Amino acid sequence: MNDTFLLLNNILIEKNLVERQISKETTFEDLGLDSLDTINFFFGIEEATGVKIPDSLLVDQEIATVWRLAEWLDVQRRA
Amino acid sequence: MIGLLDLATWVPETTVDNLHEAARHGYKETFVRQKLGILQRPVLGPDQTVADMAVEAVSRLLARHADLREKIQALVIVTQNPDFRLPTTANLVQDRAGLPKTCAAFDLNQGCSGYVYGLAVLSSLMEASAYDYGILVTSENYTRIVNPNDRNTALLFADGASATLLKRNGGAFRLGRFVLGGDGAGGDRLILEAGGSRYPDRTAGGRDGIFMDGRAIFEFSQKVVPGCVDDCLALNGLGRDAVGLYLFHQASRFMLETLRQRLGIAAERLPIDLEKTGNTVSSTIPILIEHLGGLSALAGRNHLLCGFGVGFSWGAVTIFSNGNAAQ
Repeated sequence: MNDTFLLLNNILIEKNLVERQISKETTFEDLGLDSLDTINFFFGIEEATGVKIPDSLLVDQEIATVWRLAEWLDVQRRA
Repeated sequence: MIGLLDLATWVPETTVDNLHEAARHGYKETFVRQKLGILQRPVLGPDQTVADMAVEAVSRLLARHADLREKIQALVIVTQNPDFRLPTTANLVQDRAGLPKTCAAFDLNQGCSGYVYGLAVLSSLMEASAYDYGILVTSENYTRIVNPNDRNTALLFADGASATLLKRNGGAFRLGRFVLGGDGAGGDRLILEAGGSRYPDRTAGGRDGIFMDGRAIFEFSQKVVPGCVDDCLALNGLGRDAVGLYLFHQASRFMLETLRQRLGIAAERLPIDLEKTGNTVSSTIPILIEHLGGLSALAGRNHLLCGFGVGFSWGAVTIFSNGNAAQ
């Protein structure tokens, strides 16, 4: 399984945003995060990876699943 | 040494039901309860001002110390919503509260860090001028400058005031050393452009109300506050366990809970007190202290005060107990 996906999973657990491991198919809608939870999650990602997630991802819902977010992060980190 | 002798607060009787307001903005009740933590917000009436609230708070304070009224040598008012651009609100309050004309009086423009900044400025003035008594007032009226249709800010802010009596060589607590800081690069992340000289045609409130970038404010607080707390503890020669309570600016439940988690502080040592009074900006720390029973109830332990927010601006100070009761 993608290391970045595992990292995101751990951030979600560490911040008490989910109770157990999520799957590759888990969507943001499934997570049911409110706007503040999402800010908290994205801040955790930025701290762990150094990648700032743009507001557009938050607002426009360009990425539907956590797995896709992990893939997007990998691209950013390689850039 | 400058000490904290007593404090009093005042909030408007009129309140807004935040759950009702939340529904209008499309927020769920669970969000209001669990994330904002604010169920009602005291709101100042249209005919009242920051100076009115300040006079109420000072009157409550001096009702318990009538013999000191003529001995007050300095009055500092922390506000970002003065009655007028000039004169200062402190001048108005000095007169209306019956403080002597020998009392130095001036305003200090700070927001959520304002209580700590105000303590630093007033205590420094008292030390430099060998004053025996001074009063620090916080008085804020953000509800009047918020756009009521802005869902980012409409449910957060409330109105209120406080008055804290400082005394040389006395009081339940003596003030320790301060950590103060700021980062103007974040100035446009929480801003009211109307009313200043850059946009003279704009009027505060309505669509020209406060703009707040909640994500930026959250990230700033998470990055800065833990270091500010640690710097303050180190400056005062204290470890984290040597502090009884961490009395933080009451921004929102979400903000405080994430800071608690980040700092590794137990819930009972970092109290959250927003339900009935909301975010009153520079008044949240004194209102929190009063809700905890006042300074005398907190005596016997040392505590840490920390404010942070608009500016960006932040400050912390430890207060050292002088014993078990006010002196």
